[in-house]
Amino acid sequence: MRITGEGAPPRRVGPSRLALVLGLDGLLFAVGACALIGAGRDDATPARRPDGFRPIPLGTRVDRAEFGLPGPGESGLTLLHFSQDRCMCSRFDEGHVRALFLRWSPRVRFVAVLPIGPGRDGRDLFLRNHPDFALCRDPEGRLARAVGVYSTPMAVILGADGEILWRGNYNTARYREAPATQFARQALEALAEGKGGAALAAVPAPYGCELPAPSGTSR
Amino acid sequence: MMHEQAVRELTPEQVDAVLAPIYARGDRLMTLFIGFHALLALALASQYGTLSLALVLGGSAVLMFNLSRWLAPGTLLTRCAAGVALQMFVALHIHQMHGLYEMHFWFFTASTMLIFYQDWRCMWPGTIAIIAHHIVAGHLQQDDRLNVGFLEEGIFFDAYRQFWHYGIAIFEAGVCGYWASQLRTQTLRNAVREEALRQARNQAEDANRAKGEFLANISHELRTPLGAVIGLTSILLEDGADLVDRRREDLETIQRNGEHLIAVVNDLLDLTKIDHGMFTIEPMDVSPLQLMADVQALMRAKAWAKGIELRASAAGSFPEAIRMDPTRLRQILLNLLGNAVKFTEDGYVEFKASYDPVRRTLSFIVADTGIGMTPEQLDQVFQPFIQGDGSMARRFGGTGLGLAVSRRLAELLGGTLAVRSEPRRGSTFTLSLPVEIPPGKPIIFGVLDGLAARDGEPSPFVPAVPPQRRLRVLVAEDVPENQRILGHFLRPVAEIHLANDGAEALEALARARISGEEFDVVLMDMCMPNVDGFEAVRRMRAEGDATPVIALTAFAMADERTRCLAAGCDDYLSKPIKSDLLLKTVCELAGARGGAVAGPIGAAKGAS
Repeated sequence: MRITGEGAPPRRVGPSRLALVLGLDGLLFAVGACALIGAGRDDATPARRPDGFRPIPLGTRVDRAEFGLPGPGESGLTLLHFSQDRCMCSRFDEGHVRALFLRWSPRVRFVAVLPIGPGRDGRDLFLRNHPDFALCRDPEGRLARAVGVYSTPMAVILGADGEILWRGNYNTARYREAPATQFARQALEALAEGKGGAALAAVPAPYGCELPAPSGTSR
Repeated sequence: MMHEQAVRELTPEQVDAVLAPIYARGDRLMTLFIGFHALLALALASQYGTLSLALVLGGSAVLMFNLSRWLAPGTLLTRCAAGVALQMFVALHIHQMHGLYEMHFWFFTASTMLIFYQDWRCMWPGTIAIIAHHIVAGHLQQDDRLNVGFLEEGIFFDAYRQFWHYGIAIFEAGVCGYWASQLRTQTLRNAVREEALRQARNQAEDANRAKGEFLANISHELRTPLGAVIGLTSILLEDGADLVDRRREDLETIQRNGEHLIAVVNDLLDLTKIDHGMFTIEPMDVSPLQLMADVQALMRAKAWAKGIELRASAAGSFPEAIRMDPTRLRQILLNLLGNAVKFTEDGYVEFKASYDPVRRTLSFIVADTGIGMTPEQLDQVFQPFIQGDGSMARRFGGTGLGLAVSRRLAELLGGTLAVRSEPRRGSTFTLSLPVEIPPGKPIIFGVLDGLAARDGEPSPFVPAVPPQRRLRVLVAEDVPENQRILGHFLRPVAEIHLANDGAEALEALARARISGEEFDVVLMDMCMPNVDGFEAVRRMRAEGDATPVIALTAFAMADERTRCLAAGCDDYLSKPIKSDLLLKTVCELAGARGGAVAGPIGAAKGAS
């Protein structure tokens, strides 16, 4: 049977060219794979600690009036949620923070600590999405430094007198939401039951965006 | 099942040839799909801060596919590269959306797109790459020193999740691969079928062509002796004034049947030529009213003999001339009028023409008060070889080819031929033709009316004015009967010299030149032994002999006239030769050389 197909006959490609293409394809695949694994590695890498950062030990008291913080919730607890508008990691955790708010407010006072000055409220995504959060403007990072926070998203739980009871991440690393490692939730549950100290989960190093964060990055 | 066997027997080269357009189409689609993924990756990067990864990983994927497509188009490697590139984008999008489960659905769209290639093999490299990525990155994640974030802790080594994660991916690739394989088989099966159909069609066309050639040849073989029969019968009838009535009737029967046979052969030949696309249209400037008058004049005698009135009228405005093939138009009209007269026992036949200047359409209507047709007969009236019913053929004669030929001719002229009819009330045929009006030809008011009133049978053509001298005509013809017939036809005006083939004709022409008694016209049979007519005319023209040559041939193929004129002939007559047409043509050509003058019938009678 004389079958020739439609149009021009297929062009023959020699084995050497096939080998060349295979090599190039393999190289490009390796480049892509390395970039992907590198991105995963970056996600799991803790945020860089700023030069001259001074750690603040747990139990340190924060003057609410000095930073304009509202009073505690019914249980005497206040959760400071550190977030940045253009930090992808912060925005990723918004849903989880919202779930905590819905479960614990008004027993716990939720305060959004945002590095914004007056006049930017309308443009801030967090404020627009969570207008029921108390707001604390911290454009120069004074409160963050006072509670030992240098990246977002981070949570700090204050006692009735303003003492720092717990400080840590919402999960193990960027873009994580595994229930077993929802550290802020676990801390709230322990503190609400009157537990403290050893009952609070150990928290890995802070991840996310440095404060203040370069625009559009999560590093 | 025969095709299944043929599919299995295809060579790899044949399979590649069939699938090459499929692969090319797949490459085009993949280019679009990968381009879409690249745009999506950039859009997500702008929202989720993953521009560098989008550029490196997405760029690698785009480059991988396009390099492969450029350097190794249509190869399995390129198809596999497309699969891997798509899965790289799947991984990228999942990462960009921070592991969002819904982003995994891109994996399924990628596999589905790959089905376009109809190659199950290209499903697997991408699937394996995705699984390998999970395994490698998962292991890296377990190593605290490498600190690679990939999956939620504890998920990767969960056998349950592992089973579903990889199992579904493998299942998806398998299902898509199976579907691609089925499509591939179907494509090959279709190709085999198309090839078988092509071969069958070629065989049918060859057979049809052979049939056409056979018909053309056999028509030549039929027309030649028939021409002799009819011609000699005419001679006998004209010469035999003392024939007894019985013998005259016999001769007239022979002549009538001979002419009928010729008509049948001509119709068959026309139908064959049209069906084989060998029919050519030769448009020239022609007066529609004059053509109508000619046709009416030709049919008048037949109607008159049957006692039927033939009414012709052309009212309204008409172009003075149109671009039309007059031979074919005349053929259609003669056929329609002939049928109308044939099937009308009493009453009249009406022949009308009209012109629509807006649509530039010329319409001829032939209406009769004859036997008419039933709706069933109407459905088949333009089908060849069908004539009412068997009794019609016996009663009226004919082959049923005339209307089929007429409709095909009408379509070849760009027009239509339609019919309305009622049993016992008559039929109306309408021929509508789009016409082109030559530049400078005005629209005139139609005046053809009442020509039917001029009763009487038309007489054959004779020269209007007798020639100043008898013409010298050389007849080059190998068949003695034809020599005799041509001599008989030309005897009133010409001195006949005979040549039995082209070589003898050339010798006669040479002798005539030397003696100074050149021939006025040469009648050249184009099909002769030794030197045929074509060769003889070519040699004549090559030697500078300008004697007018009329080609005579029993071949009536489409390009015969063109061939004859191209060989150097001045005119062309198809056998069997009609005496009046022969005389007219000879006199016209001789007249152009200053020999004789042709004219109409009445003038000839008056002069003689």
